[in-house]
Amino acid sequence: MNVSTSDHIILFTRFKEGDDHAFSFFYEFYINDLYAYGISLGGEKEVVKDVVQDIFLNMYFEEKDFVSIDHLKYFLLKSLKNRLYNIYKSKAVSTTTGISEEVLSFSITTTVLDQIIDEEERTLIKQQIDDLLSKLTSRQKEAIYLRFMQELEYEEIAEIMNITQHAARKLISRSLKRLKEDEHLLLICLFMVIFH
Amino acid sequence: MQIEKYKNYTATDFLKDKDFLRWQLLCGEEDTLFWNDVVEKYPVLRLPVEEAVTLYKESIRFNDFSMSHSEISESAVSLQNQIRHKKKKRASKRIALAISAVAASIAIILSLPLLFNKNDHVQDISTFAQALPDNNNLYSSDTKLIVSENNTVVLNSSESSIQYEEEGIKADDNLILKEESASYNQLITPYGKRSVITFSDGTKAWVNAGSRLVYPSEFDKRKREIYVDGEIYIEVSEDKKRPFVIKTRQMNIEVLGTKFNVSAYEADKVNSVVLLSGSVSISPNTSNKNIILKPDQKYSGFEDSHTIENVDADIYILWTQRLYQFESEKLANIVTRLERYYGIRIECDAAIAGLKCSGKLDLKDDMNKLLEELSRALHVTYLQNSDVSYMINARY
Repeated sequence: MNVSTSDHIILFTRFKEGDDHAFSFFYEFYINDLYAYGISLGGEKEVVKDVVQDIFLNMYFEEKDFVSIDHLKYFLLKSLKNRLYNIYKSKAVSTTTGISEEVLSFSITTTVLDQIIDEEERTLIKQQIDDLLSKLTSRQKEAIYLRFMQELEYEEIAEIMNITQHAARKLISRSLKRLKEDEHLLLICLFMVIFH
Repeated sequence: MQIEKYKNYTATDFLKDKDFLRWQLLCGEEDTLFWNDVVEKYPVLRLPVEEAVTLYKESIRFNDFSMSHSEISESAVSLQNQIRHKKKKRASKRIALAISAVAASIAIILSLPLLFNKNDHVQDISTFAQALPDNNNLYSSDTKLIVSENNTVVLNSSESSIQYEEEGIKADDNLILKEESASYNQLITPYGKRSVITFSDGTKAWVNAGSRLVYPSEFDKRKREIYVDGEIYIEVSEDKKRPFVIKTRQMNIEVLGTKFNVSAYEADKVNSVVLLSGSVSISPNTSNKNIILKPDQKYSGFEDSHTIENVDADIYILWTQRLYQFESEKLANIVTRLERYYGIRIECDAAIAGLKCSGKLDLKDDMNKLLEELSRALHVTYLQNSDVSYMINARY
């Protein structure tokens, strides 16, 4: 969701100057993006809500030297992930399973809205998408979500995921490959069934 | 991947196809090429593919988690309290605990209505004004003050007076409590009527016929903003901390305290600002430069240019005294003004529309008397078609 209407730009300038109305505008503008990202990372509802509150509270009192609205969005997503990571990392320590599992594991939930398409079809479409997504690792899913659904730049994705830009591009090209490979495998399997 | 299998696909079929879905999910170059091929080979598929792309965009959501409206408002209130709290803590740590506890609970009570006001205000006044339904007929016979969605005050005097005061909104003989008012109010002065409005900060505006004003019932702490479609003469109360901004479809005018006339009917090709005293800064939508106007100067804005000329500013506000003076003005423009002022329709023969006229008209006069004078002076004839419709022709 990228914004660039002139009203948004005016609001953004006021926001940087410390205007309260502009501040609450961007709070409401981004709160659901942040909430969705936090839940997708596996955060619990109340924890995510608290963290989002905290990020905005701190930001209110700090210098707002963002260069663009997209920069602000990137900053918010990154702060959210860092904070969630710290919270769940310490929790993971206390449960000491011994296995170093990923602290935050990203998942994608698909919703097909009931416009035009009837229910039976919707279930089928969702099934196909979920099938495709299930072939991907959680990091691949996260990269795809940030790139294509949140429309971030590779540079920003790299920062958020704590990897190099090159690695971020690779995550996405690998995902593409994986989804294609799979189809070839299927073809081979089919052939084998036929020739048996 | 075989192209043939898609021959008879519909949009929903595509949405169930993994190759199609992968393309939408990952926007791969190779996939884009492939789908271009498909459409090229089977042009009948162009429509279903396009439809499928739109359907995908509109109907498929990923991680569509969101907080409800009430959850968001609740969070916003609590954030504001946290901010207020932190500010207080920073300002003075000496406040006794008991007092701050009381203050905090008052703040919570106060912040609820305030917050909702604020939410409405977040919407920019121009956006709000231009989004309003255009069902308010300017040929209606009454001035309307819309204080909220379900509270419209109808004023039937020919010159209404509206005042925003401490105890409420006075509109002719009506008194409206502030609690009944939404954050933005609207004053519609139809053709044939005028009104005078005094805003909450003491700024006074004379509103000419056929004008629409949108403004907050109470100005913000940081700025004063009103939206105008039409003509006003305004005397802005001085407040150096809160600039006064008049927004119109064509330009924004920013002032600290001054007197000036604005004519910015959305239906007109030309809009103008004439300054009587003080100074104003005009930023037309078509330019990013600000134009500073001096007293007795007139700014005229056209579609993509503007001019500034020296004038006798007093002439431009004579309409507030129901007089109309003009100098080498086109007859067509004079007629438009009279139409608005009297709330009638006057058709003007194209042959004489460009006729330049100078003179002074007393708008307190009856319409017929006025047209009589005009036709004698200009050597034209006028014809009354109906109660509210006239025709001016050349005299041969």
